[in-house]
Amino acid sequence: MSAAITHEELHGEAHDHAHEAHPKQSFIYKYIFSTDHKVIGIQYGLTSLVFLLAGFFLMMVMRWSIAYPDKPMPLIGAFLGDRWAPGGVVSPELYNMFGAMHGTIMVFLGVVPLAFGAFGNYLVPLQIGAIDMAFPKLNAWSYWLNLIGGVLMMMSFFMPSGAAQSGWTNYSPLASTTQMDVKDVFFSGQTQWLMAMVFLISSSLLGSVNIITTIINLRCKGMTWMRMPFFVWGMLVTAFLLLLAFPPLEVAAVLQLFDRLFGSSFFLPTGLLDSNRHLDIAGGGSPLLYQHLFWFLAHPEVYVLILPAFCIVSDIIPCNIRRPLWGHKTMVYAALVLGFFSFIVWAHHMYLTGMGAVVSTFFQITTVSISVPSVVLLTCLMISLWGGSIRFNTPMLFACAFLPMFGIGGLTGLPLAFSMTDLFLHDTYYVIGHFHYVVAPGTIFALFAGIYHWYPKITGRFMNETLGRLHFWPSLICMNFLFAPMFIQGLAGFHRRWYNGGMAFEDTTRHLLWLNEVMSIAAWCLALSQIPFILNVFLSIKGGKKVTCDNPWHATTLEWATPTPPGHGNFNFEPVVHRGPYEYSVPGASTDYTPQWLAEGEVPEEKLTHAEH
Amino acid sequence: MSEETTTPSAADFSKQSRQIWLGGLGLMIGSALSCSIFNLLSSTTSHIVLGLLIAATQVAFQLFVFMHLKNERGIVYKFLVFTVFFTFALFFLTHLAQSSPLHFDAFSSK
Amino acid sequence: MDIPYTVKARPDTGFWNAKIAIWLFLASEVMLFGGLFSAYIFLRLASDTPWPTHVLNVQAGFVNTLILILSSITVLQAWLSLKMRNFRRYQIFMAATLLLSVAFMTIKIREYGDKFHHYGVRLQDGSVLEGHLAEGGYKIKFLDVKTVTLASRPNEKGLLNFNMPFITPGSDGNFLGYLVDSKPEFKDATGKVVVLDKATVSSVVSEAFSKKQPEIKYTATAPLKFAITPSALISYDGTKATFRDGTVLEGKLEDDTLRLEVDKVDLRQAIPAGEKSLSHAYELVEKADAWRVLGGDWKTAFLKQKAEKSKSGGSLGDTDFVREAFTMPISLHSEAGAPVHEAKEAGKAEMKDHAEVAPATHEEHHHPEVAILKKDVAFYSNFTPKYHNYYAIYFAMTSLHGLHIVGGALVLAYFLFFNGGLYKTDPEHLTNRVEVGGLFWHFVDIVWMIVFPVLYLF
Repeated sequence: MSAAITHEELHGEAHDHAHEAHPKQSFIYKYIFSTDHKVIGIQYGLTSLVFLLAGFFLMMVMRWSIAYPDKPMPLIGAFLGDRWAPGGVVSPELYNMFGAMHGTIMVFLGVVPLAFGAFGNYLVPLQIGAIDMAFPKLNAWSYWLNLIGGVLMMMSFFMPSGAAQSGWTNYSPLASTTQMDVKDVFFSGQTQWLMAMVFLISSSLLGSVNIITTIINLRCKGMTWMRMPFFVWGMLVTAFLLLLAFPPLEVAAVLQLFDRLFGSSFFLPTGLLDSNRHLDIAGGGSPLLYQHLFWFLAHPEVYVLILPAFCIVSDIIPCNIRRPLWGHKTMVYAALVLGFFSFIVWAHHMYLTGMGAVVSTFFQITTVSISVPSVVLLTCLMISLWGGSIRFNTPMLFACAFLPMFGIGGLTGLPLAFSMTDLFLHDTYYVIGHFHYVVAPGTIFALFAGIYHWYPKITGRFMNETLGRLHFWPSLICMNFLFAPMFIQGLAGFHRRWYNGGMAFEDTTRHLLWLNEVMSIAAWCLALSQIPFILNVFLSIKGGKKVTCDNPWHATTLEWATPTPPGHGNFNFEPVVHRGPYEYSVPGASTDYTPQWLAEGEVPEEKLTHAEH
Repeated sequence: MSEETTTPSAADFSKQSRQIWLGGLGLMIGSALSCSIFNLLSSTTSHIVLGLLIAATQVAFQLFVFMHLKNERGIVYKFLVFTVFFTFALFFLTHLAQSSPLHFDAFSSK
Repeated sequence: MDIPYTVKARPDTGFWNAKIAIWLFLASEVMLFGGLFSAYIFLRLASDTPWPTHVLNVQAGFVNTLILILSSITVLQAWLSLKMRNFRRYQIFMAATLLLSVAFMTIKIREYGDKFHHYGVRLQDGSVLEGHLAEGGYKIKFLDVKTVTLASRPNEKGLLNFNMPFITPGSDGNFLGYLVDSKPEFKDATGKVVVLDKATVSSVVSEAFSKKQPEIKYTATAPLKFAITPSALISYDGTKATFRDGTVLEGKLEDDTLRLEVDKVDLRQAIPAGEKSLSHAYELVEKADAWRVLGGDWKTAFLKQKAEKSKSGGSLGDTDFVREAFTMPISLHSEAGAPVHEAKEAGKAEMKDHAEVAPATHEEHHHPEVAILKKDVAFYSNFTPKYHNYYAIYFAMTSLHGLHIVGGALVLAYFLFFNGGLYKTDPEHLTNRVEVGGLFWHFVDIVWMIVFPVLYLF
């Protein structure tokens, strides 16, 4: 109705501006300080891929120490310096440091920016038919704050104290009292971790406000709530999780900063000893408070990691089976319920703190309940596959692998939901196996699928299928060799923070120590199997097979209506949505896909267009 | 107040302006009240309860009148309801303070 | 390309973009301050020491509340003026808002300032003396310092041996600042005489750093005297002081007695938790370390207060009673040894002390000066976050709130000073901007309306 009028007004204005503004745009403003959501999305993507690689590198060094403790590490050992790796042998301190930073980098700088920052930024405005995000400048700020946070985090490796060493959870009192004997507490890794976190939190706050506003207010004509693809719904829920869950972590970070810099004892109990010496603190604080505030963020954060993966997969699967997504509405409601529940399950990470039976029971109930919407999501995707004519291209392979891998990760979480079994499994490799199955072959596979799927839209060329398969199969095999043995070790009681992989407790661990070597070799092979991917991403920009039309996968959602690659302002025509997002193989239609933007009776045409400006 | 269908007259504005002053005065009186009850009442619990009630009223007034939330459409309420719910979820953790096993009486005084 | 709905509301949602965004942002802020308040309640309930109540200056807090309410009126008036398209009126009210925010921050900073000068010393048995440090502050004095060892700490460096000057871990020469009436003239290992200053120290240390030589020893040509602020030291004993930067002085410890002008004694922490019997508690505090430090006269005064208090009855379960019964203001102004205030007003005096007595003490000596030996001190601090979690959460909440005030004021100032052009081209747009800025400003006011009773009154 009146939305159309506004659009016409808008177009009138846009033409006036277009001629004066665009030719002047210099390279720096077009590609570096850009406010275009697509450029920012790509910036997010590239940065976070680099951070993923960095986090992966830290893990490979740790795996050496686990498999071959106290042996000099070949090649890399020499570069790590005498203090941290004397004679190339990875020291326990270095292991702790890399352990803490591996988690931090992977979660806050790798997966979330890639899933939410990159895919969310690039695709959400396209899928709802908007010309850009609601606040392009804030969007740019969000990226740059994220980068500043990332750089601060990396700088902390070079501080006199080294980077943070108290695990990615940064639990007090350890995190508040360690690295305090340095000249300047501000320039210690532990403090810089908190500073970097403040930047990352601000960045995700801006990002999430932007995405939600865009989805609420910039949907094109005809894009009703239930015509939005599940991708957009998932991103909306994710944005809400980021918006409401991050502030408590900011509180935790600020209070811990106070503890470190101003000597307060928010998280430090009375009578705390450090090497048999009473600390110079007032006491009276509570370490549990930190854990509550931290996990109030960090549990929703788990769903921030997994929901975008569902978003991506739910777009790729219908497209490659040529059938509608089974239960689109069900999935939307499941995602909303999942988002809601994710806020009230946090204390299941804390059963071992002995919160008391009543509190434990409450959190056990909510934790078990939250598995219901997760299973709904997974089941809908599985049922969608049934009876489809599946097109096994690389994105589909990754998307299909996502389903069972996430399934394993999810099901192995059930024993952790119950206080009784969790007390035994807490902090063992079982936990590591569980959440790595969710995040690594789960989320990261979905992200790979997304990259392969939307690459033709971004660059105008396909990624190489052979290299894609060379990437997929070794990755799948290595991932399983890497994470499955963790369940076995975990059930045997292997603790997650042993730098020597259990060598120190040989009497009890002897029979399973050999698995360390298997997992480490799998990890390094996994690294090798990423080489085809990296080559593929860079070589395909110039050498990939060119797309012949704007909609090479014959998909139905709006991002495929844009020119290839989409220009500033996205659409060459004013998009109007006529139907739901997954109209594949509609009986009676002339093609097996009926895009959202085609009016009744129109036939989709295969043509390649270019951006107007 | 986004739906300004008719242009309001100058009289409307001066009325609105007067209402704002009055509202502000009300808020000030509320704060003076919570200051004085702390001098008048002897019991800590009752002045905390009363003080919180006054504060809640002031907050509600600010939100609905000064921030004209009462004129906004439903979508804002949708996410504010969740926010309020989760904030209360956060407060739930104070319940755990009393059952905290890390709070050892043995240390409390030497 | 222009983004739609920046000024006009979208018909079906009823919002323009920035309004949705500000409400979302405020939702996030609710969670932020919600987290802080939840931390406050958590800490207060879990506290194992008496929670300080009524220790802040209520007048100042109340004035600040009025200022903020007034500023929320003015910001609304400014918005209303824009809707009336009366730019002059808008400018006046916006400027008033900014002035009010400056006034708020000024009062806030004065309140902070008092807390930096007021100290609390906890003795080994838990009794607490409060007051101001005597002239010159607390200094660790060393005599006869002959040897100074600079540290280069070649082993304390980051991962890749990067040498970043601002985070070099070794000596930075700050110890020279604590030298008293003597010249830093030293002989180095080769016997050459050098006068050390910061530049020399840093060049010597960075040379040693690159040679991986951990320390550089200097012998003073004449014995030196140092008076060192404790926070600069990691540790010290009778013959040695180690600075945070690794520099070591060797000499003789002359004096590390803490001199305090005591204005209050607080014995509540000397009573063991779980103590039920009031008379037993009185027996215990009569033996408190505080009396050893303060002297018998004050103990007599305390017993007099006790006698009065026990008439009114009360139990250890009543925190107000305990606060009044086991704390006592100390002032030389009244007749020797008698408490200044009536006992029943002791609790309120607690609050007034901070505000009124604080600046005057140094010149007029209202309070007795006592010397507390280092071995008697369990913990001491000024009333900063370090002293107690109450002050910690007070500073955390009010400083975050202050940051919001500053941020909000900057945005409003931008609208006032740099958006005049926008008013000419698109007054509706500026009105919307001011509305959004105003919503944030009201939110900051809302936060203060909860912070004020919670921290000042409860």
